[in-house]
Amino acid sequence: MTMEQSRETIREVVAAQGNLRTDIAHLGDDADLFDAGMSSHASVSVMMGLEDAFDIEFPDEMLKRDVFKSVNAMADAITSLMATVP
Amino acid sequence: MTFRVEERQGLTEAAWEIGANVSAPAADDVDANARFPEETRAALAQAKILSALIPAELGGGGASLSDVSGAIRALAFHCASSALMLAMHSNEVGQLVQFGDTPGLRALAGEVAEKQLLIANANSEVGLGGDATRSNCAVEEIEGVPSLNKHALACSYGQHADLLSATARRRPDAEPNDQLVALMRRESLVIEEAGEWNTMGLRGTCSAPLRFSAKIDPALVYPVDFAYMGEHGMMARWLIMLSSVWVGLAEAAVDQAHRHVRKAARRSVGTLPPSATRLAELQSKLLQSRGALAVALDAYARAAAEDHLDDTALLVTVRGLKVATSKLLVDIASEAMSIVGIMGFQRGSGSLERIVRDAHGSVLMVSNDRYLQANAVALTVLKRI
Repeated sequence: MTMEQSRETIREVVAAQGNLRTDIAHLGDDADLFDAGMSSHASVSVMMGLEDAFDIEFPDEMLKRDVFKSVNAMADAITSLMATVP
Repeated sequence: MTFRVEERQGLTEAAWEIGANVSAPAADDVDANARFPEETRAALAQAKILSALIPAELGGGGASLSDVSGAIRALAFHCASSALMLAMHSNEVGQLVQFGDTPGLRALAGEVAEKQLLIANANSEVGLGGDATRSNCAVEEIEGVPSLNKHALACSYGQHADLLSATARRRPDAEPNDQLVALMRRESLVIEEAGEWNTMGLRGTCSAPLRFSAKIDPALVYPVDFAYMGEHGMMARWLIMLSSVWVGLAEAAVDQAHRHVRKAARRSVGTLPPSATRLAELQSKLLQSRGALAVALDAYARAAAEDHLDDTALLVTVRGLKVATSKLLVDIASEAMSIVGIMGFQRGSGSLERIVRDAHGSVLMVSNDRYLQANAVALTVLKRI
């Protein structure tokens, strides 16, 4: 999966689970999703959606606000996780 | 059945002295009249306990969370409302120390230490059902000056504080969870009580709804938003300090039951009174409560040392702590009353009445359901409990 495809998948998950007030299509990859209305609860649904979509598990130390605050932040986290999968 | 003497050192001992000599004698009057424990506030200020969490270089006591938890617990043994005041104020101070990394807020921390200023918060808002993670009110420019009008759902000792801290949407067009936190000086506020605080217990916190308006001083606005602070240490500290109140109050209930059993045992030397076994059961519940607090304090200290205060597992732990200590407190207070018997059912000074009523507030003063729901969500992604 290319970075571009990853970002597209992340955007789909955020659109489905993020409960944003703004259409994600109108937000850049670095836009703060929490500022765009994503609640902590919704961010947990996004985490689960990403775990499912990418077949990964976020370790507990990655379950932090900063990791899920933007499309790029999530893409970086997912890239680093997939790089460590044997 | 209270702290062992060797545990009552430093800040805990100082708070214990204030609790025993100042808060306890006033506690029944504070409760009866739902009045603010002014004398405890003055004594805490004199002992510089209001600035315990402020670093020494800013004029504070440089205490740890564990030290302050001990002080809150010691005070709660004598007066739960006084202990809640110290817990709520210390939460604001902890927030100022950790996140107030601007010249204006640094100077304010120094001023809090120097003048022993008391800080209240008005984060809740009418219409949001106790959910402090959202705001309806927003900072608006009025004649070019940033201003805030807010109708707080409950504002503990808001009329008695020197500084009020409040959340609000950053701008009129900001999302409900895009919240800044601003500190306002008493003299810049117009406050109007918008309801009464006539509760069964915890009456001295004076947590009536308030309407207020103020001009916002940009120098006293935190550089990070409310949700960030909550998830990076503030919520963990708050729930540990709040739970310290419930542990101290449980210790007070058990102390009364213990005194009663010892007296009964003296009257029937050679025959163990039946209430002694009930007391032994009660001791095991108190141990659960104390143990939960110790586990959470340890988790906080480790997270702080490793610079991981944003650890989700820490938040899950402290939410569980609040739920556990409050539920145990209700059980412990009721069972202490059954041990003391009809004397414990009496009203008035020296009875268990105030403790039992205060105890019931512990599960409601921030509803356990809110924390259980948050943990239910977090546990769906957390890998270790």
